Amino acid sequence: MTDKICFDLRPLLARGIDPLEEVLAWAETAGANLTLDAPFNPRPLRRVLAKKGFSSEAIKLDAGHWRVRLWQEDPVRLYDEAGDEDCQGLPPLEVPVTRSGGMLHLDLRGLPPPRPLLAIMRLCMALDEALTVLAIFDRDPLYLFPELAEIGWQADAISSEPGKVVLKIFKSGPG
Amino acid sequence: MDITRDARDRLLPASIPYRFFGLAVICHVGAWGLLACYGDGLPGFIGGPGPILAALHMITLGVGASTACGAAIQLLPVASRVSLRGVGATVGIFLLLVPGLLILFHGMGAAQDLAMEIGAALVIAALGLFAWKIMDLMYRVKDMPVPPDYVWISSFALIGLLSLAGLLVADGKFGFLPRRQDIAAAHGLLAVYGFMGMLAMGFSGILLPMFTLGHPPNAVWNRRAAGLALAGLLLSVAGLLADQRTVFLIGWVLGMVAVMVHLALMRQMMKTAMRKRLGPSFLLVRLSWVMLPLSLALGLAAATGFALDRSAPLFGFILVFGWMLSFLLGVLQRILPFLASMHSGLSGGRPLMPSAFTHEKAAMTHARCHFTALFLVSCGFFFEQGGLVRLGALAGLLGALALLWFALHVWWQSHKALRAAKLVNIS
Repeated sequence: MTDKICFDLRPLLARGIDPLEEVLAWAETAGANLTLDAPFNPRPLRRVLAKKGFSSEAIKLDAGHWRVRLWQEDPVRLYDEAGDEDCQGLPPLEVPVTRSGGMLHLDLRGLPPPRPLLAIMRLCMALDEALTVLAIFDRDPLYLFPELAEIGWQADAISSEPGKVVLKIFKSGPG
Repeated sequence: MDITRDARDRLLPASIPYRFFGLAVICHVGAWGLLACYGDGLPGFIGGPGPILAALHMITLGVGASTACGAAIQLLPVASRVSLRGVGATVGIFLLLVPGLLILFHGMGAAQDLAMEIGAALVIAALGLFAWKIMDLMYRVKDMPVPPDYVWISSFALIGLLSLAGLLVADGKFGFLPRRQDIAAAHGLLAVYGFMGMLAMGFSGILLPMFTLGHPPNAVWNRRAAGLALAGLLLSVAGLLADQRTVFLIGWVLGMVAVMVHLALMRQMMKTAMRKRLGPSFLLVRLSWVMLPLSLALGLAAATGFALDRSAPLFGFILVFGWMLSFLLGVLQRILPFLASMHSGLSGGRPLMPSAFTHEKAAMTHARCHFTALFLVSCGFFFEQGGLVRLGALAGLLGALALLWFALHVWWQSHKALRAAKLVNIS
């Protein structure tokens, strides 16, 4: 499994250097784990990457600061089941899942709709034991609540701030 | 269920989308009812005022445009993370649309020019306002990977079709158009393949993976399908307007390629679907996927003059009732309980399951009757038997009443859930 790589393009662009070749080299190495920081929404770069099979989403974090997350269309198992005994048996997801304190943790920020919903639903439907899932979204996943209710799960908000909503997702009790 | 204020801003009050969906369900009953009474004239129909034209517009405007309004104003803000500005305008759209449709249907049915002009003016104002609200929202969307192309194309197609509708109504009074039939055909293409088709293809990339729990369509190929569909639509419409048959046919073939790419993406999504029991709503959606390429094949047959007497009217029927109506009703069957479930959790409690709002028997009756209606009416076209068309329309009417029952059930269950939540909050 490759580590998550965050590549800040701003210093290169400030010096007038075209970062295209370096980004392409990083994309080859990092696969779907690449995040780019740029001073603007780099649409031409995203188009080049799209031709190489990468989808991307850009979010404006601040004035002059955009974050671009890249992912590959054919879902790739981003966590290594063999190397992480605790998470064995989970379905293939687009984000790493870690287990601590008896809870599964996953960060779904940056994934475009409906991928966060699909990741949670795949995870919950695959879990046999009544584990609690702690998931971070970049906004309230409004469509998720009815779908969870349908399979007997529910969600409570733990914290909520712009760009970061943390939900505790667990099996509903009777009633 | 606690949701943030930002999310609340994006979720409109339930009454706003539901009033459009309610209008769609009622117009659906009206359209099949009209065909059950006057369907004898359907096999040879080539346009012109009368009950058939009114029934056709009850489907395209009454069911299609109303569902598009309700779905887009509710789903786009949630999917795009951008709130709709001036929610009051959505009430304005509805207040213009309802009298506009009533007057227009009356004008078309009774061949009254003045009523048609007033009704058309009100409907054009309503849908023009809708296009403006959607374009205003899309302009503020920073990044939304899949649907924006489709939503933009759909919005421009809506403006184009409204302009042609205005021309057609004016021509009815002053008679200045040299090739009215071609303008009417371009208006129809922009309405069904352009406005409704693009919106349907765009929402399919978000809603259908959500409902089936399958992989969303490949973003790169989805964008290519949108590009092909745009090129196909532009060339077909330009070919019709400029009387250039070759340009029209090139556009038509490009449209067929776009549809094939879209259907391949949908097939891929269904193969990865985790939810296997999708209910009657997906019977209708699957039927629409068969009807879409069939409509294009029939359109090509009609355009090349092959069995024109049968292929031309059958093309119109399969396109509007076979593809568009099947898809919209399938989505409506799924989205009505889904929205009710979403709103049931807003008062702080646990949301009720969408299936708690679903009347399975009514949904299945509706789907069965819809299949029967399509089969019988198509046979009526093929054998040029008005009686078969009316029999099919009766089946359609029965199905439409079942869907009305289904919608009333959702409304009643929502009402009960809200009342129960209020009692819990008070105690």
